[in-house]
Order: sequence, then structure tokens, then C-alpha cells
Amino acid sequence: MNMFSPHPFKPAAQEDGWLPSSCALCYGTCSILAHRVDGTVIKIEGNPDSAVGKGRLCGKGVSGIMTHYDPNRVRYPMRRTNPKKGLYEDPGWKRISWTEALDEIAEVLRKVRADDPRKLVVQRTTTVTASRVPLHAFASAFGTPNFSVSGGGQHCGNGAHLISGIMHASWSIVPDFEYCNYAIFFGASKGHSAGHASCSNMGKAADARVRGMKMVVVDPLCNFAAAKATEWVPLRVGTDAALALGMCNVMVNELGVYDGPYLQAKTNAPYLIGPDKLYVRHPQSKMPLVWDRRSGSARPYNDVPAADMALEGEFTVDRVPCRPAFHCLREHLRKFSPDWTENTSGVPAATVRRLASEFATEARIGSTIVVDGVTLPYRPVAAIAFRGAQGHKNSVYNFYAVDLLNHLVGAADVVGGCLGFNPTSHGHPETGKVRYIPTAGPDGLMVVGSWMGYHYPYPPPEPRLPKNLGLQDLLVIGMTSPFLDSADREEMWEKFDVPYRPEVMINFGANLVMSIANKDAVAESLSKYKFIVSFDLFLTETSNFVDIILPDCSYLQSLDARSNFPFIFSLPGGLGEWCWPIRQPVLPPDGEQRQFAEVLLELADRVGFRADLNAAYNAWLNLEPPYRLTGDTRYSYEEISDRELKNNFGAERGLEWFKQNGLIKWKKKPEEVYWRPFVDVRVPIYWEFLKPIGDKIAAIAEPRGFKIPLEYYDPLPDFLPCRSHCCNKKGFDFYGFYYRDVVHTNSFTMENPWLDEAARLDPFSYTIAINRTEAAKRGFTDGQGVWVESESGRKVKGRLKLTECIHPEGLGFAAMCGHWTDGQPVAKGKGVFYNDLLELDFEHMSPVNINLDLCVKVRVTPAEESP
Amino acid sequence: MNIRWDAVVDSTAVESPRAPPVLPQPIVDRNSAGISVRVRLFGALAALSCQQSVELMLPVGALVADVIAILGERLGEIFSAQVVDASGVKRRYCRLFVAGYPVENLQTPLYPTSDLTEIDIILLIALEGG
Amino acid sequence: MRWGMVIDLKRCIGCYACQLACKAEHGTPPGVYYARVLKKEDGEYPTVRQFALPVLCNHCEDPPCVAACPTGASFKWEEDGIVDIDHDLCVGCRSCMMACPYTNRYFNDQPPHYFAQGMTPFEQARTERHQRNVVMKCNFCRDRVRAGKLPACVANCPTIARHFGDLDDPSSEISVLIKERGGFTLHPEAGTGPSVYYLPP
Repeated sequence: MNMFSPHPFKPAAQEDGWLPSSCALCYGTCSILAHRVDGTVIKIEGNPDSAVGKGRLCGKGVSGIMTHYDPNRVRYPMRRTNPKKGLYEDPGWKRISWTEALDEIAEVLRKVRADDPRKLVVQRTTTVTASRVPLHAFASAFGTPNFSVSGGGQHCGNGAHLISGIMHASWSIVPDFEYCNYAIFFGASKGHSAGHASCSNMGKAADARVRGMKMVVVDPLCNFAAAKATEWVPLRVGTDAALALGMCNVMVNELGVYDGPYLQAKTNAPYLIGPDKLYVRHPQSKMPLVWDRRSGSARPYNDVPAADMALEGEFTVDRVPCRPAFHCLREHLRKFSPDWTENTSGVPAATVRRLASEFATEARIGSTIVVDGVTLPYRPVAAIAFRGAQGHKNSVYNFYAVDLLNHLVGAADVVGGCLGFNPTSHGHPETGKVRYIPTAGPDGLMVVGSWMGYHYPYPPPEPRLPKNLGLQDLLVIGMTSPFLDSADREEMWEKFDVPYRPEVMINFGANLVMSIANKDAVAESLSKYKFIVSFDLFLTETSNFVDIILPDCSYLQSLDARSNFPFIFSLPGGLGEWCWPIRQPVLPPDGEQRQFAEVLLELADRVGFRADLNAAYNAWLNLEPPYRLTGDTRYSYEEISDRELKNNFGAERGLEWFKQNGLIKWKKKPEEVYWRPFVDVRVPIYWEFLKPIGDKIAAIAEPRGFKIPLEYYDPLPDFLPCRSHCCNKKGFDFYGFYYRDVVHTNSFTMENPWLDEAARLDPFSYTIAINRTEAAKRGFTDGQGVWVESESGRKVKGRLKLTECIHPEGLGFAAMCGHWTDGQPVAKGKGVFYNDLLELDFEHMSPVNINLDLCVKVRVTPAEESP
Repeated sequence: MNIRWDAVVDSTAVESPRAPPVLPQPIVDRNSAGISVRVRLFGALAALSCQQSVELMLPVGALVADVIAILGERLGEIFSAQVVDASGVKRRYCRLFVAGYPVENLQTPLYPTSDLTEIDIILLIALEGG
Repeated sequence: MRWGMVIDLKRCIGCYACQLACKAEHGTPPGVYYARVLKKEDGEYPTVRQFALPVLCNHCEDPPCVAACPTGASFKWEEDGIVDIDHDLCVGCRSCMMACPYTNRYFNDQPPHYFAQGMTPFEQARTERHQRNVVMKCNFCRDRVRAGKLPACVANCPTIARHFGDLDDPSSEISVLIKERGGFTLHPEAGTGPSVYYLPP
């Protein structure tokens, strides 16, 4: 029996060709052209035909060759012979055949599925965007809700994507580089380093810079974006909300500048709020009421022209005193005085006033512009945030406070303003497929048109006694969850009588031991699993807990019909083109490497749930007749890919067409990019829905001894300090934090020798940045080895880089390095493993969106030189 | 030129794709006394309710919501809690397909055909990051 | 016809894509970078900036490396001004490296592979062909340019910071940029007449 579906690679008809495909060195997934000569890839360049990258690649993209050809790649299935699992315990890998491997894995899965399918945890690395559907489909078909993206989300997304979703119907926000005149970046480097649509944004940001866009970067470190900024505003680590709220206060209360008509028409600013902090609702229809100035009465919001809605005032409705939400916000903002802001963040009061004034003035409230013949509101200012600002216990309010600046002046998804990445698409002009648009949900608030899954940011589901290991069905604002591996997970599961425990994990490419928090917590969690199977390119630190390693194909050996979809994820925002590229194999598998998607299909066949998997693919890919998968037919991944493409783009545009052409694209319309004026939806400048959610969660959790700090669930944003801000331990006088490095992705790329070489030449990569003056005070010298210790006693060792480019209290760690695995000899020993300083428990995460608190108060002491 | 935000709303500029998709007209059997339906459950739904497939006969004029109600009675809370919320609206992560086409609004009518009407239901749990 | 390059420091973000695209194009061995990115910070906290300076061979009009070369290995192409090295003639004396005021020449004394296990298929195809114990440097991707393409670093730069063209043509894109944006060369006092110009950050 030939158990392998044929690998979709076909030997070249010509010996010298350029094949269009997609990069996978980071989740940006830029389009590439791979030059193959006599069976060897000798160059990777961008694909000028594609909107993703526009023919150019970052340093990681061009270096992919060395990741692919790394001799340390896993080539054969392997099984551990040492039953003992530990961080430094040699697994005793033994090569086995695919038959043996799949026999054993299928047996394990069969047992788990019969017992309780929820005991399976499926995990993937976010680096390969296209891995989402095959793994989600597998999990859905198997019947488990327990899904993990390792560090992704817990570090960088639970905040950013939640708020970008609620306020902009997208995964991320970015200035409209083409038209913005004044952009403020809070803890973000869009267009200057990494992130979604990173490479494409680099070109756009450079155009903006040359055009004269003023860029203010608020960051403890002057690197990447801040290095190119018109103005660098250093601030105390983790205090972004303080500055943003201070600016909002100046704008609204000192300058009196805000976009009244925007707030009336596009937000819940006019909704009346009662003394219980909730909407005052119509007694029968339950619709939130607004005060209609014309009739002098309270009426449902969708019954009153926006221009007549009061934004301020004290009213009484059925004897209930109430005020519009904007009024509440305005009063609430008063406490964030410029002096308070200076005290909390370190940013001088005069600067707070100036930034607010510059932002408010350049917003040009009320103005319009004509783009491609369409008249649109024009607000050429944008405040954006990303990983830095939201990587704190105060994750939600930090990010939200920054975005509030945009909504106060109406600079949301209009020309020049803060744009979501492609929240609206009219679909392909011929087939109408992949069409989506935000709609009005409960209380008229916006529901996304497209998301990465079905756990939408709004409306959040009803909290319940949790049955998911990650507790996201209780802590419903959270997306990905640290509770799968946290030190207090067992305590939580017992408190809530979660009726099962994780036993089996299928991991695709993630290195949890390094990407989440301190390695001991994760190691302890992984050692409890009965069985772990992992698809990997290399052995990682996590491999020490794996039972069977399966050799994965690299991106140059893989097929993916949707390398860049959903469009909200990494397709460049702003005007330009919609673009759907694919990934196709350029090289054959080496050794016995197989594409993981094919292996999952085979496992489903062996375990006996192929019909479920077909149904899951139908649902995830929205396949319609005649392309729908039927029954339990054993489609190959190639066949499924072909069907998806034809389903979306027509019968003539299946896999063969895409392999020839690489991608399909069509022009974006201004009404798609600047959709906000055309869609009748509102966004919350008062997060009323948060309070009842908090109360419900508390009602479930507190009787079981789990205290919920409800100040985090207040409808109005606040600055709530991180643990690091409250640490007064003597000698612990630096705020440690890590930041993304332009030549590295997570903990993945240190093994690539070209990237490693570039990093070693860079003054900051692999180092711990410290303020030169502060270092001198303590007698530290440039290049000195030091121990960095957290307040709970965790320690990491690294080399100092003395610099003027960092806040005096900051200690900046480049990327997530410090590998110790022998499986990656180039990566081994380079840089510092910052995550080892992080605790992994409820106290060290946001109690709302369960994003980890990534800053740590630390003490720095000299380390002896190693011999 | 100042334009009010609400004045710009022009729904013809951006049609909503969320209007219920027009199910291709099945060949209606006017002699049929009822609607023959086979519901197939997948993934967690099948596992939790121990049912892969249920065949039902419904009166002419039946809605998809009626199918859900019947299944709810037969399979219990374990089924209905996952498929609909407290007000009877289909949960977003519950994907439901009638004759291969997605249905969001449970008030969609079924049509009597000479064949079986296939209804597929699957839960797509998905929490994401990146 | 004199090929020249303009690097716009306002656009450049120091991402190393040029250095790495060059390495990928030429398969240069470890320790040899035809293109590099230098970084420097300037100022005192909080009034600081970081500068990125991509550097490469300047293909000087009056190249001291050519003058210094005893064997004639280093030479200048008359038809386009590119300064090149004939590795068959190079004896590895490194006089050129001492003569170059920009330290943009590299001596290849490393094995032609990055991994301890030996050459990858890529290195067999692209790195092994380079002679050892000779001096190597940027040649403005002469083969690409003669085939009508741009040098690899120029074609790939994500911020579109690099431009390439004919310095002898006053209407070429780079000539116009140099004139309009005040393009400057590095170490003009060395008097070598570089063909690489920079636009102010």
C-alpha cells in the first residue's frame, strides 16, 4: 500500500526557472520568486507582481535559503527511547519509519478520542499563517476546543488584536502612510522592523517619511521606528496608557477639541449611562437610549438623527439620572492631568500638552478630501500601538487609550487616519467571493466581517463555568491562554472542576519552552503530557518533552492555497491591490520529510474521522458545491487546495493556474479602504459591555476562591500599574523588557547563519541595552557580562550594551535568544533568553484579556567572565 | 466642505454580504407530503451527543430552526447549548450548511424535494493569536 | 557611462536586507560582505538618534586599490567605471585593502561554508566557486547589470532607499537625486571620487 500521497513537487521541465511562492520566515508571508537552477535554489527575491512585499524582501526573507538547507534539519521521524522527560534530559532519539510513527500516533489519538477528545491540545506556531486552517480543521473534526499558538497572542496579540478588532474590525492598526501627516507610535515599529505586513509597510513608511509625515515614537528604546522618528518620546516602561490618557484629557478638557459629529454618528458616545455605569435602555425593546435634543426626550439610538443626539448633559429618564457616555468619559479624563502624566510616565507635562495639541490640530476635524473621485473625511493623524504597549498587565486599557486618541478626532478608517488592515472587502470582482464587511451587532456596536476564527472580539460570549483548559470560556475577553501551561493551571482546573486534563499534544513548529515564559513552568506542564508529537524543522528546546518528532517540509517544499488569507492578518492596509498568493513547492522533500497538512489528513483516515475532517475543511474554507468535500473521500491536500481556489476564483483558476501565475489580484476601491463613513456601525468609546462581563465572571469565579480584580473591567480606561511599577525592592531599579529585532523572528531565526552573522555585526542584537549614564553610575562598562535578576529570583545572563538610546530605567533585551539546544548549533549560546524572567500565572497577566505582563523589575549585577 | 458622518452613509456603495445567501432553488417536489432531512453532526457535536447522523421527516413549511429544536429535544442540552444561545440565535462558531450552502439565520425555510435535504453541523472552536 | 549608486539615508531603516540580499546573490563566504550596514548613535539622552549607513565598494573614479595592486588583478572597466578584481591574477597580498580608505575589501580566508557539517547545496552552487586567499569586493553586480537588471541590493531594498544609474547622464534618476537632495560621498577628502552618493537622513 502506498500510504503517501504524492508530494506535489514536480521536477522542473526547465533547469533554470523562477517560481512564485510565499516566504515563511515570519508571519508577514511576503510573496517570493525562488530561482531554482539544476535542482538547487540559488536565490530568493520578492515578487514584483504581488502587493505583499512589492518585489522586495526583508533580510530574513532573502536568507531563507540557509534555513531551508541547514544540515541540522530533521529528516526522519524519530522516537524517544529515554522515557524520562526533562529540560536537559537526552531523549535518546531513535530513527523510526513513518509507518511506525503513524501507527503509534493514530493509536494514541484513537484512544483519546474515544475517551474524551478534549484531552488533545493542538498547537501551532503563528509564523506559518497557512498552518491555521489544517490544524484548526483537525482540532474541530477531532472534537477538541483546546488550541494554542504558543507565545503568539499571549505576548503580542490578546491586546492588540482584541482592540483592533473591536474598534477597527481588523487584526492590527497602522497609519494611512499614504496620507497621514502626523503619526504617533506607542510601542510599535510598523514599517521599521517587524510585524504584520512588515516588508510592505517599510516601503510605505519610507514614502511617508520623505513626503514629510511627522512620526512621534513613544518607546523606552530609541531603536527601529524611534531611530527614524521626527521625535522620540521616551517613557517609563508600561505606562503608555498614562501618556495616552493624559493626551486625551488635554484634547477634550483643555483644548476642547474633538470630532462631535463622528462621536454622535459612529460611536456609543451619545448612549445614556445610568448610575450603575450601564446603558439606560428602552423598557420593552432594550435598545440603549440617547437624549434627543430636538424633542427633549430619551429615545432609542436608532430612532434619532445623529446630529440631534446629546453628547453632554445631565438627564433623567424614568426617574433614573443619566448622562451620555461622552460626558462620563470627559469627566473621567480630568484626573489624567499633565502633571499626573509626568509623574506616572516620566513624559514632561509640557510635552504631553504639545503632543496633544499637535495631534488635535493636524487632525483637521471636519475636513474632506477627494480620492479617486470619492469624497471622504480627511483626518491626517494616527495613533497606533502594537506589541510594546499591550504587553502589560494593563494590556486592554494601554492599547485602547492609544486608539481612543483616534476616535476622539474621527481619525478612524478614513483618509490619513488610523487604518485597520483591510476590515472591508467587496470580494473578487468576478466571483464575489472572499467578501466581508463589518456589521452592527448588539447595541449597534460593530461586529467584524472577517476574523481569524469564530471567537469574535465583539460581542464576547457569555462567561460560563469553564470547560476549556485555557479558561477562555470564563475569561471571555481573552483569546489565547497562558493557562494551558501556567504554574497555577492545576489550581484553576481544580477550582472550576474542569472535568479532564490535557494528555496529548500535537505541536506544529512551536517552541513553547522558549516562547511563553520561564522554562521551568512550561517544562513542568509539558512533562505532564502522556504523549506529544511535534512537526519540526529542527530539534528545539521543546523537543526534550516530545515523544515522536516528525520531519516537516520547509516553505520551499510546501503547498498552501491560502498563504496570505485572511486579508486582515498580513495583507498591507491602505490603497493598493487585493492580492491572493499561494505557496508552492520549489524543492522536493529531503530524506523522509512530509508536509504536515498531508500527514494530518492521513492521521484522520487512520483514526477514522475523515468525514469530520472533510466537514471541517468545508466549514473553515467556506467551500460550496460543486467544490465541497463529500463524505469520507480521501482528498489529498493538493485536491483540497485546488477546490478552495476554484471555489473562490472560478473553475479556470485552480491550483495549476495559481502555480503558473503565483497569485491573483485586483484593485482596492476607496470605499473599501476608507469604509467607515459608508457602514452604519458604531464603536464603543465607553466599554459598557465590559462591566456586566466582569460581574458575571466574578459571580462564577469568586465562590470558587478566584478573585477577579474588577477595576480592570470598568467601562472607562485607566492606568493600572504593572507589578513592576509596584516593586520597591531595594536594588531592583530597572524595568526589563524585550523587543523585536529586525533580523529575527521569535526564537526561530537564530539558527540561520546569515541572520546570525548580521546580528553579531549589529550593535544591539543579542545584547542588553542599558542607559549609558545609569550604567556609569554603577560602574558597568560596554560589553560587560551581567546577571539580570527578577524580583522573584529568576536570573538570566547577558552582555550589556551601553547606549544613550534608552530610558534611564529601561533595560532592553533584543529578541528572544539564548538557545541551549544542541539541535541548533548556530543559535546555541547567542543572546539572552529574556522569557526566563517571566512568571506564568494569573497574577502576571491581564485579568481581562489574559495577555502576559511582559515587563519585569530587575536588579543588574556583574557576572564573572566565563573561562 | 464639511460632511456629517451620518450623511455619508450610503449603503449602495457597500452592499452587505451578510444578506442570507440565496440557496439555489432545489427542485421542489410539490407532491411531497413532507420534507425529508438528514442531519449530520461532526467533531465535538458528534462526540458529545454520540450521534453521527439523524434522519427526520418535517412538515412542509418547516424552518431550519425546527430541525434544531427537534434535535435539541432528542439529544438534550449538550446539543442545544453548543448550537444556539439563550435567545435561540445560532452561535457564530457553529457552522450549519443546508445542501452544502451556509445558513446563518435559523429562520430559513426548507424546501420539499424528492431527495433528502442534507444538513451538516459542525463546531469551529477557534482561539487565535499572532 | 559611469555606473553610480545613490543611497537615501532618509529612507534607510538599517534592516540589513541589502547586506543579506547581496550575500544571497553572490554566495559570499563567511566574513565577506560586499555590502554592510554600519550603525551609530548620535546625541545624548533624550535627544538622540540612531543612524544606519549602508556601505559598499565606492567604485571610485580614481581608485587607490587599482593603483596599489602589483599584479593588475584590481582594475577598472573603462566602459562603465566598475572597479573589479580578476581573481586569477590576485595573489592575496592585500595591498589594495590597505590602500582603500573605506575598508570595503575583504580577504577570503574562510572555508566556503557556514555550517560545521560542510557545504549546503546552495554553497556548492554559489560559494565554492569563489577562489580562496584572494581579496573580494562588490562589483556592482556587473553580471546582473549587463543583463539589464539592477544590482541585488538596489532591487531588494524594502524602503526603496537605493538607486542605481549613470552618473555621466545629468538627466538620470541618480544624477537628479544627487542634485536636488544634496547627495554627498564618504570621505571626500580622500580624493578618490566615489561613485556612491548618499542623501541626507
